[in-house]
Amino acid sequence: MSFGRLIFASLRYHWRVNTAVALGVAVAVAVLTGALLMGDSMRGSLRDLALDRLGRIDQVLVANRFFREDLADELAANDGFVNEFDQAVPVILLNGNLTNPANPDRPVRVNRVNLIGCDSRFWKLGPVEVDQVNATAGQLDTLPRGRQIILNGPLAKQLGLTVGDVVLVRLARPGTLPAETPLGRRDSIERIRLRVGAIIEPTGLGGFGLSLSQQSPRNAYIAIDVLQKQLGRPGQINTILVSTGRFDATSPQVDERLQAMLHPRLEDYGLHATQSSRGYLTLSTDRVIFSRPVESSLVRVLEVVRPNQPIQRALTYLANTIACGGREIPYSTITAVDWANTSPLGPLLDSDGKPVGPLGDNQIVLNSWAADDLGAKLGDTIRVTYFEPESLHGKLRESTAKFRLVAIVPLAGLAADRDFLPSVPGVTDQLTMDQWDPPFPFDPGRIRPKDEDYWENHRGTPKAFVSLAAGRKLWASRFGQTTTIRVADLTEPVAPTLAERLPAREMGFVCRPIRQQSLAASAGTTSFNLLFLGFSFFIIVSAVLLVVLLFRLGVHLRARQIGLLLAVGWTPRRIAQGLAAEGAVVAAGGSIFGTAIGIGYAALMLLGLQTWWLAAIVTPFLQLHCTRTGLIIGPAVGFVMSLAVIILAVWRIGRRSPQALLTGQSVERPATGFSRRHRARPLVFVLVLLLAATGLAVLLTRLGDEFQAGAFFGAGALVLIGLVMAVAWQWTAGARRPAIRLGRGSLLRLALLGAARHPLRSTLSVGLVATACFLIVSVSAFRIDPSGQPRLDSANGRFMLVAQSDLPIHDDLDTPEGRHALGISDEDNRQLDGCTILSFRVRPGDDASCLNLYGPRQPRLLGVPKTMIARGGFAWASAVDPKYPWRALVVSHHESNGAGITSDRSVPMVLERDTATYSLHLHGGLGATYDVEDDLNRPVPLRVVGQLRGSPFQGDLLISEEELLRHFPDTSGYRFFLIECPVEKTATVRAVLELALGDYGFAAEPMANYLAGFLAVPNTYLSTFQSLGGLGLLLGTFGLAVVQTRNVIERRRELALLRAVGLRRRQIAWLVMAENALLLIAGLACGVVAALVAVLPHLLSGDASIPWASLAGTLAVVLVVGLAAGLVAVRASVAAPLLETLREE
Amino acid sequence: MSRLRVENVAKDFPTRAEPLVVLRGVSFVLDSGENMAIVGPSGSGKTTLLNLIGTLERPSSGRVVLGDVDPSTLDEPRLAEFRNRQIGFVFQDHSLLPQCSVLENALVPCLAGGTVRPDQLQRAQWLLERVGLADRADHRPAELSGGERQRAALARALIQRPTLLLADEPTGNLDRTSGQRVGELLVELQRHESMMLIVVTHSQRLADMMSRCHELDEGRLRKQTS
Repeated sequence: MSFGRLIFASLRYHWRVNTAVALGVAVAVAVLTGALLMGDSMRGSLRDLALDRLGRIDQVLVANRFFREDLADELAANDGFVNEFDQAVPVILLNGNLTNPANPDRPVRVNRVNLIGCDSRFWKLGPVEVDQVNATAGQLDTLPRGRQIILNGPLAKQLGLTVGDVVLVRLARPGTLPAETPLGRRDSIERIRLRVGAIIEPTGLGGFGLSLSQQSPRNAYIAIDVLQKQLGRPGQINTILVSTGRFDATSPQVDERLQAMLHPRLEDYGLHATQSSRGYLTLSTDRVIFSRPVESSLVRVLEVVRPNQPIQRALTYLANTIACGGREIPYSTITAVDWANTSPLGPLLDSDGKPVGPLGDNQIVLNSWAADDLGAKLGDTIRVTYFEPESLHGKLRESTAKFRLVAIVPLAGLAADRDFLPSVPGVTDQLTMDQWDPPFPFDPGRIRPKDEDYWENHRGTPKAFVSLAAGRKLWASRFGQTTTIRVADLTEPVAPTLAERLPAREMGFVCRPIRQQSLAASAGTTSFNLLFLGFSFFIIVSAVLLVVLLFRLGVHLRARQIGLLLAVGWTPRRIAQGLAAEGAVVAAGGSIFGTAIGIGYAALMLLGLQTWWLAAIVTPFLQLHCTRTGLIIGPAVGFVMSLAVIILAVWRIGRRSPQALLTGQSVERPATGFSRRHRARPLVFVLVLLLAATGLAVLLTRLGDEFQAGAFFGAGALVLIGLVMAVAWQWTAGARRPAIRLGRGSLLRLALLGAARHPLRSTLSVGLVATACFLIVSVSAFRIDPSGQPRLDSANGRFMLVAQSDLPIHDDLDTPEGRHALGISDEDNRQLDGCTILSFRVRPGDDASCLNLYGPRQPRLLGVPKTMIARGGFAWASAVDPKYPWRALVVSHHESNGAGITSDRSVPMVLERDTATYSLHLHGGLGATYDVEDDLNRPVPLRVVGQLRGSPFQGDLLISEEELLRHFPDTSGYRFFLIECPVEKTATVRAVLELALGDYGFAAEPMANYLAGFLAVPNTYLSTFQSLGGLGLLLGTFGLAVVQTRNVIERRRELALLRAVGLRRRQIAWLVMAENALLLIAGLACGVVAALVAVLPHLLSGDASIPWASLAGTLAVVLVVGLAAGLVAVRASVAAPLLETLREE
Repeated sequence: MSRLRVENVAKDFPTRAEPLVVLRGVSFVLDSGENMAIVGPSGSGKTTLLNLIGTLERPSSGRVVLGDVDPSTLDEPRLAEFRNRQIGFVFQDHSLLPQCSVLENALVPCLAGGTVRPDQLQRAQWLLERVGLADRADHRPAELSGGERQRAALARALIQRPTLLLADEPTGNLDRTSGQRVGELLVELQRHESMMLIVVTHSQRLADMMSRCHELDEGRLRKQTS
């Protein structure tokens, strides 16, 4: 007989209890493995989904403007491209809304649709199969063509469309000029009526999109030429999709190499170079005014290609009126420019042929035509009336500036350069002035014949000149400060070199490694491994405890054998080694079995997420991914953990005398009560804990909400520990109290004494049940009910509706005039009386809310208007200025820290606490910074100055409107709205606005519904925790039953004696069951009381939405199952043969 | 006046080979106030006979009648009540509840009725006084000597004023002096309570204290002395 054979024989002989231990290990391993596989499955599914939707697309070249479609072909023809990439496919990516016009009275409209202008080349990029297409008008690879449109399944379903139906597409026709300048046009809304040519599944390219979300996007595919024509952009696109032909093309810097292969022409940048016969080159932009970054890039490159040559910047602006005395000239251009002293960019010569000196801020020069027309003399005051360079809510404001006439120049030479005025659609392309079709208020009646003559002969040649500084003071804006750049070009044409040298990225052409970014985003915002490990925590703890209890039960059953081994000379260490070795074999078997169950557990959890807990992931998309990591780490950790507790369990075995063990006594010493000397210590300890908890609770009522919740949780935990300790103390102390007394209740007291027999064992059981119960009850209190009353400081901020539009709305929805400008009738306007509509600017970005499982690359930015900052509202988790939290958005950094002006450029930001914590992982709280990128991919640091709690801004970053425009100047109009109105008018207000603003894709949603959408996620997680916690608690009750069974086995002789002296089986059963119930009820009671302390602030504030019914149900089930499990012990107690048991001595 | 009638009692236990016959037609009668000792070598069936009389086991044939009752005809609740009221046990090992005091242990049989009456408490205190443990009533079994434990077990056995007291090797684990004291107490209390007493023992000294002594040999009972 060797040591190994003894272990093997022992394993075989005690197979029942070993199987039970192995099952316990299997449960722990299964839950661990399952949780890890859950995380792997989440990541794997997100990854699969992202890659599926990208097809073979690896890089995306996006521009902040339209450019030549040919650029895609030129890129593809590049030698480097051919070596490394496969295809460059031109597409147009826009947003719009679609309407099913079948029922004109109740048209079905779907907003936020991705419109993809493409041709057959697009379909070669992805895995869309012909059998996925329900085509009647041709094969997929020839679609879309003509006036056909392809819809993906979800979109077609929402619209109720089938192949052959007609659909109305609304989209914005993007303007070239910034919409909020006097010359800029608002995006006009184009309507196209198209026929559905095919409906494709939302998989593969049917789910294509640059923004990642697990939800199926609503995609519509339109023939690229049809779209170009509709947009008035023939031969132009805004995106190039690049494929590498292989899926693992995520090598570093590939986007940089692609960027280097891109060679846009000046026209792709919207730049125009005009060679002047006077020896200089004039650069202008079809945007009319250069954006500041483009201007900087241009100047920088010009300084390189034309070193030592002067560069002249000019700002030409339209004056509504130039007046002197009682005479005026309508609609004239004025150029702000600093003339050079040398040719060809100066000097400007007056009528005497003398150079005009540098102009002061209040000085003006008129050309001879204007001076004659006005009858102006040197020294006269010239009044210039103009529209302010930026409009707000669609309103233009007119201002007047006064100058002193210092020179009159002949309309010749440099003063006669008509290229100072860039091309302005609707103005410079008109033959006569009265044909002008400008976006600003224009009165053709003011045009005189002489003005028409001037236009005919000199077009937009400026009639006046001021200094560049004076001009910029009046007419520079967030959109720029320069309209033309001139450089001497005496030797050779500079334009080709310039285009080549301009940095495409800085000019707005950005290559995005979309595949790489998608893979990175697939890691998700939430670690589902940890999440489900947390959810399954109590199952794991219960299973491990069960392993300990079962193993010790097995050991106890062998007390006599252990005694024998000790008697024949084995050392306690050797016995422990043998038992540990046996435990290791059992744990290994359990781990292998548990791995298989773990896969099933993960599959079950996935099924739960796809069905019961669907709200947590929004849409069912998960697939089980069994990774090597999950399948190795889970069992390994489970095995080590189980073995560790087994070793701990056996370590002290063998400390009792062989005689005691041989007579079947427990391997543990029973409680004997406290000695007099130590009797007070536990009580003092418990009292200190309870006092600490009370003190903490009282103290924290003075702190902010964010501390309160956590601290009350801490106080609850202290109460829990205190109560469990009190129970343990009571038991230990009670070990010496009389059980059998006069009157009734002696049997119950005997049961209590039985439960107290092994305080450590019982306290562990009670502690486990209590902790699980505490967490389940207290965590349930964090369930949030969105259906609160409208209140300024609540989650709804007293707003009744949240609205968004696909297209920017420029007019002020908060004023009757603004609404009137948007086409809202007087009658409808009256319906909106008493409403407050706050409009927010939107910088589009990724959805960083809990509804999107992908990690955000660049979250959406909202520009908070001053009206909102002044009004205030919403619930705050933390704020720099708790009294006026919104004001921190407009307090500059040097004001806020009181340390003077610093180099810190960070922008104050407010965001939802959950977004900060879970999505962006900003754990620094107030003061933490997060970088976003501006239009040219430059980082803009945002600094947290406030965190909202439960507001509708989940997933958004809020900065002041001013800061948004400073960093994203091209953002125009408003696309996010909060509407405050009387409760009873909510439905009417919604209907009026949605109907009137349908073209803009305006959709409003009741605030409660909007918030409920977000709250469904955490609430579902809480349900998941509650369910799995409940499962763990149930497992804990089985542990309790094991403890009880062990107690019964240890005391079977006592119980037999009770039977021998005449107690009935029923009484014995009652005694044992009462012991079990006492432990169970003690655990549940401790847990519930401590939990109620923890959730007190929630209860008092009325925010808590504790699901009392389901909680009571869970606890009742636990109680019933716990008692049922206790029947095992009861059975063991009454089924033991009386005589044999008595004879065991 | 009660009488114990053991009539032709036999007991065998099934084994793999053939039934193991332990008792072969044992018969005797014992009246109130009588006591008897049963002696015999190990494995002779002494304890089995005691258990049959004590209703802890049923005979294979024959019957045991106490008073007018044949306990083998009773169902479990009635049998438990019968045992509680009519029979007191003293085991070789004291079999005391370690978590209870001496007084509580004496009262344990009273729990079968669900309540402890004042007269029962009084009797327990009286019994403890009689067995010399009045000053140890609040002590736990672990704090008593072997003899004291057995005396406590005796008090417990007598609490319900049983008709029949059965003692299985009551002095088996005790030293001579303690054994002597326990034996004397057994006889003294049996006489005081006018009950029947059957003692199974290897101790000739204890057997000599009984008015009758029977030897059990190969399953048959033979009268040794009278």
